[in-house]
Amino acid sequence: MSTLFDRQFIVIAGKGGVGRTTVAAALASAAARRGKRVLLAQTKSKERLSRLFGGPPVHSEIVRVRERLWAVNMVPEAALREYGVMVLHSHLVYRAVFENQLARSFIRAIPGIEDYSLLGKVWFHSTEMEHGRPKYDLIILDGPATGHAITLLSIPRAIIEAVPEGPLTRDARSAHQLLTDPQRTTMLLVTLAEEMPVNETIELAARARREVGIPIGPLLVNQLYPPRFVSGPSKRALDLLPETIDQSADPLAPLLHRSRIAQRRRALNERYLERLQRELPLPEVHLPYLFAPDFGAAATEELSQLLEAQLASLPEAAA
Amino acid sequence: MRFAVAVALFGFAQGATATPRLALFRLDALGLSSEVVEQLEGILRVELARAADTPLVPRNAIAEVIARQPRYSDCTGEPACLAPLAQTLGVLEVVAGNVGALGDRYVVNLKRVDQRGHELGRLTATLDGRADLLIQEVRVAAFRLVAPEKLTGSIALLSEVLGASVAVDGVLRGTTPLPAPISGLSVGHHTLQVARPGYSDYLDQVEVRFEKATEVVVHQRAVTTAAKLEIAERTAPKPIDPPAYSRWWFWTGASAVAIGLGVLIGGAVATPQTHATH
Repeated sequence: MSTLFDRQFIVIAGKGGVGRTTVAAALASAAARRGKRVLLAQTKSKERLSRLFGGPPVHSEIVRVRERLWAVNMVPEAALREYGVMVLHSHLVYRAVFENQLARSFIRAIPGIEDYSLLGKVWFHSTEMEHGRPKYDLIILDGPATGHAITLLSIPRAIIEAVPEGPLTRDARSAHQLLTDPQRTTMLLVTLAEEMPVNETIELAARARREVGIPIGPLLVNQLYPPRFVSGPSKRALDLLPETIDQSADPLAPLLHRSRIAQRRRALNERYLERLQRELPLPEVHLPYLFAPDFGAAATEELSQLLEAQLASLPEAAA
Repeated sequence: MRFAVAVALFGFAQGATATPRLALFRLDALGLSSEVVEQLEGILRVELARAADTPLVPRNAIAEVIARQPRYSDCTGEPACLAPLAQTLGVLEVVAGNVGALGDRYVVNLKRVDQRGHELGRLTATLDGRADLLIQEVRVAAFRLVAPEKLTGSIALLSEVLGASVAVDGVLRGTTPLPAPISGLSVGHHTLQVARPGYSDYLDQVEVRFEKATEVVVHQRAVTTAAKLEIAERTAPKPIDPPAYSRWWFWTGASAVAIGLGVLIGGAVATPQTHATH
């Protein structure tokens, strides 16, 4: 039975601040637990993976963060250098060409070249072989936020359409085939059940299908508030209490405030979950808000197990 | 009573027959079926009346003028043609335009001309063909053309951090919890910033839509130990004041009262005995 963990390439996309990196780390961890060799690739991100995995800091060189799990934070300059070396098959030639001041400014002027270098690097790793088998079973791309993600992923198609046949188009064609192959690739959209993230997610899904043609997997709805005070006696009790009470006079005032916030957040979550089901009918994975003072390795692991359990319970076609 | 009813009826009659100040001449169809254009024109008519806060000249009145003066039937939005039409109709302004199709969308071009031939505004709007969006988009276009200052919406905040300053486009709008949504914001994107020392800053572009409140959940993390402690303190109920009998002054006072009472009672009991011995 083919599941999400049998894909070769998973792109994590969503609005800034919805928890893309955290979800990507949780997913990578789940895949590694299942015996996959995983590379988690980030694009120009703030270094957060060391805290999420409780491991070494992750920079532009691939680093092993735990068993069967590697990570890299790609930066365009390093990626461009690597890609240049790959294409030219020589460090010396690369230096002569790419590190020449004039050539460098010329290369920089090519629109999208930086993005392409990032995507090209990820694609290259998906083709790497070691001991007669792929070096990584699964590559998870923790991509940039909404609009930029589409730009990044649509570059191969743009190159195929605009550049004459040659080495560049050959690679771009392979990358594009990878991105649009439902057996190998899935895009996972991460969102919050809140107005702005939901708006962007619906738009992002439409653009991803239209402009990239990438297959879209289950929708990951993150940070859902627990369903407290939304029905039954607890709701009735809270509704009977005054809207606010004097903070200085009553020791229960902060509790009332927190309860109301919890009630409103959940009510808001439910409203936008309904909207998502109506306007973006995808199978959904619901991830709870983890009330951890510091979101570290333990919280990542907890999220990872919740994510894995829900992905496993999805129908085969969806997962 | 009868007088009050008469006044009310008079007022209603006045409202119903208020003189139109605006006319929608027509929407010319550019390669579209006239049925679709008629529907769009119907929606636009309602929304223009709402935006300008005036009834519009009825369609049949415009048809009558054209029948009497056929030269108006060739008007395609030139001020030189629309100005005398406005004068003939007895209105201050006339709106005219055309509508074409662009894929599954409509492109509407509108122009607003006054009776002296001055062009007061024009706009091009691309409308989504979906029925649920069309009315809203036509409404926005109507307001944009005749009453752009009324084209506002609001932002409703849901924030867990109390006492954080809220700024929209750099202008301070209050501190959390805000008593009501921030209203009167022009339609489009605004920069929302919520900040409180000790917490991560919240900064985002928020889209404000016409007559809607965009719901924003503000996510702020406590970054300093003091702020983390404050959250812990806020979430834990305050210790209830110890009862009065556990305080030092209660027992001191009680002892003083007891001694005083003892002295008094002792005195009262001793006095008759003294008398008895006398």
